Amino acid sequence: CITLEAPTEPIVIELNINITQEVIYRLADDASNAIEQNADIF
Amino acid sequence: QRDPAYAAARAAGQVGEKMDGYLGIVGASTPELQAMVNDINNRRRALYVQRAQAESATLEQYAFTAGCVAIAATVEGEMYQAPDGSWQRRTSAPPQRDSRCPR
Amino acid sequence: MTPQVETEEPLPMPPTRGNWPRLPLGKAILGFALMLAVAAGILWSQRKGIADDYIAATLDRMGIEGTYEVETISPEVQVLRNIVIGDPAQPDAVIDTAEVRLKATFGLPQISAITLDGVRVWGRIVDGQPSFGTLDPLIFTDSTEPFVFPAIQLTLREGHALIEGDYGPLAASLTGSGRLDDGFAGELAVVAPQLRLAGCAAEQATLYGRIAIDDQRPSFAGPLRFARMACERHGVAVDGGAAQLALRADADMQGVRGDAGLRFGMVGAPSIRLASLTGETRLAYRGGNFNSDFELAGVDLAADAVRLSRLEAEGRLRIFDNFARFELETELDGRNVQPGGQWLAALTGAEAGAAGTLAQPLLAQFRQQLGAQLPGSTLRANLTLRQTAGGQLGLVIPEARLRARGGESLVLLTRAQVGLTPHGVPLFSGNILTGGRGLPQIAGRMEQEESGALELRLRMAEYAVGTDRLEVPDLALRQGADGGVTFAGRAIASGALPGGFAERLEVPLTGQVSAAGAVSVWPGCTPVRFAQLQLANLALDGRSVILCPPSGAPILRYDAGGLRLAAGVPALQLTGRLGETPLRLSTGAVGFAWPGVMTARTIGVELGETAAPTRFTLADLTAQLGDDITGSFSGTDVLLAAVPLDVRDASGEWRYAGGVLSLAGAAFRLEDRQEVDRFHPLVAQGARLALAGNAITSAFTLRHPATGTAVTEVTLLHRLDDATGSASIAVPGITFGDRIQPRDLSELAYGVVSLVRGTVTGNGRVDWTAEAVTSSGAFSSTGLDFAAAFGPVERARGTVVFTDLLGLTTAPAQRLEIGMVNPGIEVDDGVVTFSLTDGTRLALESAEWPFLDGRLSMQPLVMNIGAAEERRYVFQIEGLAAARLIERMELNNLAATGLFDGVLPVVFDAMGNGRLQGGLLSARPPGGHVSYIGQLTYEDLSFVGNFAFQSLRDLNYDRMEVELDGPLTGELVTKVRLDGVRQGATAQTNFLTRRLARLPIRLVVNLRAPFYQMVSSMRSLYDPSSVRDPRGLGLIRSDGRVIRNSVNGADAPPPETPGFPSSPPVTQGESAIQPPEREAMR
Repeated sequence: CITLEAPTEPIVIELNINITQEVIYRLADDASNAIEQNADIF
Repeated sequence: QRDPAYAAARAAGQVGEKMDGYLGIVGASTPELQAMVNDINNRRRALYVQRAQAESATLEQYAFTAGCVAIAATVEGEMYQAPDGSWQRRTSAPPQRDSRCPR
Repeated sequence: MTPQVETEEPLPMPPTRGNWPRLPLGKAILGFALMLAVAAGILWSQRKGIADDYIAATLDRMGIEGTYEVETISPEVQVLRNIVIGDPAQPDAVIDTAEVRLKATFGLPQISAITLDGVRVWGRIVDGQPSFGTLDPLIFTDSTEPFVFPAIQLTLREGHALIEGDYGPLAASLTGSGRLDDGFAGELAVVAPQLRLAGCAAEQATLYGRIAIDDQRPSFAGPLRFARMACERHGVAVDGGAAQLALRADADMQGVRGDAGLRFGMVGAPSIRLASLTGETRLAYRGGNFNSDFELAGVDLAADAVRLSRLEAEGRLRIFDNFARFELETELDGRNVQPGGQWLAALTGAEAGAAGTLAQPLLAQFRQQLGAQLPGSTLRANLTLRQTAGGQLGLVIPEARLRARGGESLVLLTRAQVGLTPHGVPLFSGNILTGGRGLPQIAGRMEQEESGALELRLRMAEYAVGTDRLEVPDLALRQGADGGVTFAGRAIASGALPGGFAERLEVPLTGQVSAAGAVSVWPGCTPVRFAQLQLANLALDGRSVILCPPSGAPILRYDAGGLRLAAGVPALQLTGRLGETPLRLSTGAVGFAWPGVMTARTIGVELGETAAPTRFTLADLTAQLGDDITGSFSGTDVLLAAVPLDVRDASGEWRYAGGVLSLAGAAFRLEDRQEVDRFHPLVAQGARLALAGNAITSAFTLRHPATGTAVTEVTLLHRLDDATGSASIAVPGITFGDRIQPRDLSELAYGVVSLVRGTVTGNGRVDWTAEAVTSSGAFSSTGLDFAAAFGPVERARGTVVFTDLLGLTTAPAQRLEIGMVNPGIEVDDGVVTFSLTDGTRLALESAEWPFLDGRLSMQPLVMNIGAAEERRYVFQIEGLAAARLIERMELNNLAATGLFDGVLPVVFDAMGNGRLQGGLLSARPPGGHVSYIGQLTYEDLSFVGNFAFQSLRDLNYDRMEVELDGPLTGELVTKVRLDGVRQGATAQTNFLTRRLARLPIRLVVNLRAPFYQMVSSMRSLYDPSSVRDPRGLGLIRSDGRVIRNSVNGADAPPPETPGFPSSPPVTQGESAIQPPEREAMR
């Protein structure tokens, strides 16, 4: 039977998670509203 | 109803809209101009923080989106930052905007 | 018409005055003498009636009706009885018995003696003409030859006569006997209850004495008395008089000679009163000329100007041509001369009027010394009073000398002449010299010019009382014909002035006194010089100033309308001292009017050493002069050298009283003198300021000009002498908000803090000396919100203590509690200790936040406010509870335990964007447990990926390290490394996993997601509403296959309406993390 020697070096499992999101669209309306309401600083 | 000094600086092209949603100084800065830009950006940042939280987006994203809108809203003669980072003076043509800017 | 002046004769008297002499004393004596003469005349005119004889024959001869009873008729003696002459009912005369003794001489019966007994005669005097009724022809024979007394022996017993008429009823009684022409002697008594004579009326006048006729010359000796005599025409009244008369008439009855001893009680005349008058006079009257020598002594003489206890007059009075002219020469010797009541009142009045000036003590001393020197004083004068034919009255006083009790000459009048112009104005000439201990030494010379104008030149030596001194080096007065006096001269005065003090004030005395008494002085521009002038505690050094009157008016005017002063100076340059503080004063036009207002233009005042002066510049100043001096000022700047704050454009009301200058209701603008203003100008209204001694004290509230918001209440004290002072600055509360922002107060705040909301209170203190200014203060707030470069801050609370308030430098370790700060991540309940230097260098000594059951703290850092620079903050994390983090992020499908410590260096760029650079969190032993309990399936994850993901479901770890990098505001790269990984109890265990479990596995999760997105995307994993449908984004085809990894804004279809399909976008099935939509944004 196969015995797996517990290797001394830990097995490195690398997991790359990229969480990105495309939110710019969503914000466009809100941004233009905000700019209109605060015209004094835009 | 912009502050007269701010309106004058915009019209004179001393300041311009940056892509990151904040106001930038075009060319030579002066303490007064710097103080005015800082004040306006403080207010914009506070607005962005508040809207970003409400829209559960990052401050950076919200600011960037606002930048897109602000640049779109510039009028002829005002300065804005083109995607390559350079300062451009707005002409009658629509401004060059970052690809990610929504229409 | 100028009066003609005889060289020697005095000036004529005005006709209106009548013949009485001007001098009241002379008038009284002459009046009396006249009355005596008339009384004698009456007696005189009765002389014929008595000496008649042949009663019967003559009666018949005269055709005088009379009845009588003959007692005996014999050649030697005829005795008649009860003789009644005239109308029996109204007899003119009644004689009880008349005995006529005849003697024959050369054959003709001659009357040798008559004896009459019980004679009563009634007569009248009308218009000066006596009439005895039917007896008149007997009395008034028209013979022209001179009257001779007949040599008949007459004996008269009980002779009475009653004469009424002009002089009032006279009752005379006479007894006596003797030869009529020589040797007759008898007793005469005349009683006149109401004697009217020459305009005078005497009451209870009685004459009683011995009458005799010697050698044809009748004489009378005896007292004339009267109770009271009043002469209305001359206003003379005498109470109780008696004259011991001894008169002798000439043979032809045309002249009288004799003397009279006079003793009168109170004599009153216009403006003169005598308690009593006694004296001797020898008089002689002949043919219209009256001549008398007299020695009179008046006791307690009181005239308007002078009072004497005793005045002796010895001299001669001569009246010519029936009072046409007279001449009085007399030597006066007065005792105890005192100033008259009216004169005294005028003196005390002047003294009171001069209160507060140097004149007052001088007048007071003059009055006191007079009071001391005059009792027992002696007056010796000789004078001549003449009235010329034309009625001109002139008085000549060769010498009059008033000596003090000690014999010292007080007043010496020499070669004095007094006359009256036709207008009744006294014209006086002569020399006057006054002196006496403590009295002014005045030398005067009065000249009478041909034109009639009078010139008085006088000089007064310095008359001093202590520091008050007055000297008149020369003064020339010219009295014009119209009576007006013009004067020119010079006066040098030192001493008190209203509210001040002058040293050697030299003033020219030019001006005039009009006939009506209106005084006007300094008609033109007048040089005024002073060695030193002090007003309150302002002492001005010596200077000469040209004062000019308003056009067309003198500088000083005093008339019925009262005293008016008005002068102006085109400009003034003065130096001096205010208290001990040196002062330089320059002004534009200064106008001064009393009563009235003083106005001054463009005043510049510098107080203190020239090196560090306190400067006041006033545009204009008005002052209302009264007991207190009040006024207004405007356009005033106050620059205290030591304090870098300027008071600009102050205006308001001021009052100077009791040595204190106080300003009330003052409005001004306070500005920072520094080139770059540390604060914008603030305004004050209703400010109070007082300058007393040489300290300025003030209190005012400073307000923001535009909004009127009260900023601070300041009370201030500044000592002018050493330019030291202190000010307390109280800030009851400034509430920042829509109405007012810090930038309204100070430009320093602009760009540093914005959108400030909340109230700041506190107080401060500034102390200064001539060299340095120190200030301190403490300001606090119970809750301040503001937006700063590093993001909004809310509910900042605490107190900041400043060691140099004006320099904006705080004490070390100032502690503030921060309710919330959001540099990208909201961090609550922080405590920051910091110190600020020169308003720019901010040293953050510590900053701590409770952070998810642990503590987030920041390592000390120094940064430069206002400068756009990159700042590096290093945050320390201790004991962050993973569980609390999950809970805080509201990730309810995830559970984790374990406590983490670590360091999060954050770099904020100039724009204020913060980046995590090399952040490292590591779990504390013994590690913890992670489990994901939500649905999590993605298909195409590699085996290992699947295993990793699976193990996430329930995983124990010994060690976990999390590396964090990337922008706080953007995409954060997180690298999670778990060691000592073991399947958690709930994990699906199968053979493989159990085998694996024993393997030392290190799970490394590289999570690239915005800190926020990391959060939101986690949430989105189970909360679809927070994520847009990728299919809508054209990322996944409806069958779930990915079209593209990411979508570029440019070509992504517009967002659909937010209505999302009910089913979650994520397809069920094995867990697979959707491949990241590559997000191109950096």
